[in-house]
Amino acid sequence: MPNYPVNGAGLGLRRALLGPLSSVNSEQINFMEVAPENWIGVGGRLGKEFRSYTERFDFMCHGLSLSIGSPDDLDIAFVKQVRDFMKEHGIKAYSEHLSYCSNEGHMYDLMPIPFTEEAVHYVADRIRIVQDIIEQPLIIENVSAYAQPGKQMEEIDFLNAAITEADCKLLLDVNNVFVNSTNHGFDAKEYLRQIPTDRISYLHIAGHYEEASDLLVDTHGADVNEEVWDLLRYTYQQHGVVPTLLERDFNIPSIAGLLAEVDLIKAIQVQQSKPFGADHVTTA
Amino acid sequence: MSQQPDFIKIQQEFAGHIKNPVKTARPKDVDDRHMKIYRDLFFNNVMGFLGGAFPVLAEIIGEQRWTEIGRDFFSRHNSKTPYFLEISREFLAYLEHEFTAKKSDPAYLYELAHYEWLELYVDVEPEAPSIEVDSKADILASIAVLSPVVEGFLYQYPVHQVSLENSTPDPKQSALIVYRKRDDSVGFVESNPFTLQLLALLKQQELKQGEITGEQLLLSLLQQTGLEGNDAAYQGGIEILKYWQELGIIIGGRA
Repeated sequence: MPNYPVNGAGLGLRRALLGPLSSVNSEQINFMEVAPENWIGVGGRLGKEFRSYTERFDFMCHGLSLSIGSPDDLDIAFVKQVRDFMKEHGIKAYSEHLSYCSNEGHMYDLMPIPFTEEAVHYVADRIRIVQDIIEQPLIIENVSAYAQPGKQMEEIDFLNAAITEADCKLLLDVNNVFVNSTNHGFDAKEYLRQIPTDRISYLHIAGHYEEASDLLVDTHGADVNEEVWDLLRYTYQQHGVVPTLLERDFNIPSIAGLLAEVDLIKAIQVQQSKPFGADHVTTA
Repeated sequence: MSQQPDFIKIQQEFAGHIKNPVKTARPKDVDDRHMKIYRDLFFNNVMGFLGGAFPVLAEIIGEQRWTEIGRDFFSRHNSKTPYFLEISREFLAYLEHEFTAKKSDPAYLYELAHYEWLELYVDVEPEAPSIEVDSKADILASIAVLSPVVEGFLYQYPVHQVSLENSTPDPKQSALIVYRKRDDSVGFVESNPFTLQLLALLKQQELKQGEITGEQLLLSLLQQTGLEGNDAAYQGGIEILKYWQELGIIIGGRA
């Protein structure tokens, strides 16, 4: 059995969900994830509410500001603060985006690293620095992109080269694979087949926004699309049943609506863990 | 200095263009339709953070001017913090050091932004580990313990009263104390310069873990301000200390 940091089906915790989710238990949501950038240095009523969640649920840190591929220097003090925050709350592991979000200062959203050999080495070196500080593998996520500036190799090759050279783990975002396969015209299933199974720590799944038929935007603001559910099934078939977390950041539906999507992840996990996928699970 | 790798130069163009499309051209191999997705995502994201932190200011100066200021902030300010709630502090720093006001901007613009930031700060700032406090202690005879987060500022405008309906207040010195209440909500009190000094003394003593009782503290303030022996001022000071204890600005006393 692979050794995953968390199990089952999870949900990203946002400030707006602190109240609504207060009576949900860890049978319903098996693990949660937060951006450390939203919670480090937060006390008062919010800090107390957050503490009540980390006491009840298994948690992952899913960072946004590490800027692993940035022209700016790594913020070592920040990485140490993340490490201490994880210790303080018993957080299992730290994931971040294969991306950058700063250049002469923070810009607070993700930009695409040019897919080049030099960039692979640059990023891998920085991942190793982070891993030395947090004293555990960093989990790197494939990101959605709407442009591929300076591209000299395929995304999948860039991703695989970076995580191999850094000897880190992978957070495979299935929706991001779908979004990018549409935006940049590649075969999502072929991409998924090329992912090294033993690097995977967990999966993300989310909804996106269709700007145009050839341009999807990873908004986390809609229900998960049917084709993405299919890709999740395919991922399990290729790599086994992996812990999977639902991201929902905008247009947040009722708790019942959110739990229904988390339950669907669980149902697909049960179905795909059977040797021949005997039961059909409908997603309608 | 060693030469920058090519991919870094492309990143600098890409990021530079998102920040300021007028100043920096987009990378040659990205078309405008795709670049626009990034420009819009980034700018709307930052405006979302600013709007969440400064709702009153945003409403009063109107969408057009607010967007203009937000654009200037995003284009020019070098934000150091990785933390999203601290973007509000970056914005304050921008207003203080980089922003150029227009004639049509309200004179209290910075002060209002500061006050809105202060409300957020008092809400989320981490508290020190709590010590044993008797909330009913006689504050004159014991050492006052302040609310875990309390700040007092002297503004030149009544920024706490500014709203869309009251957007052109006359200047009026306003001593405002914002603090975390016993139930963790944010409270505020209008005060005066004298009591701000009292608060400053209390904070100073807490910082150096002093052992001065409420009464001794009050007497030393009266001495500093030339009001030694003034009974009305002394009685007023006692009233304030007791009132603050009731409100939770002073959460209690320790021996």
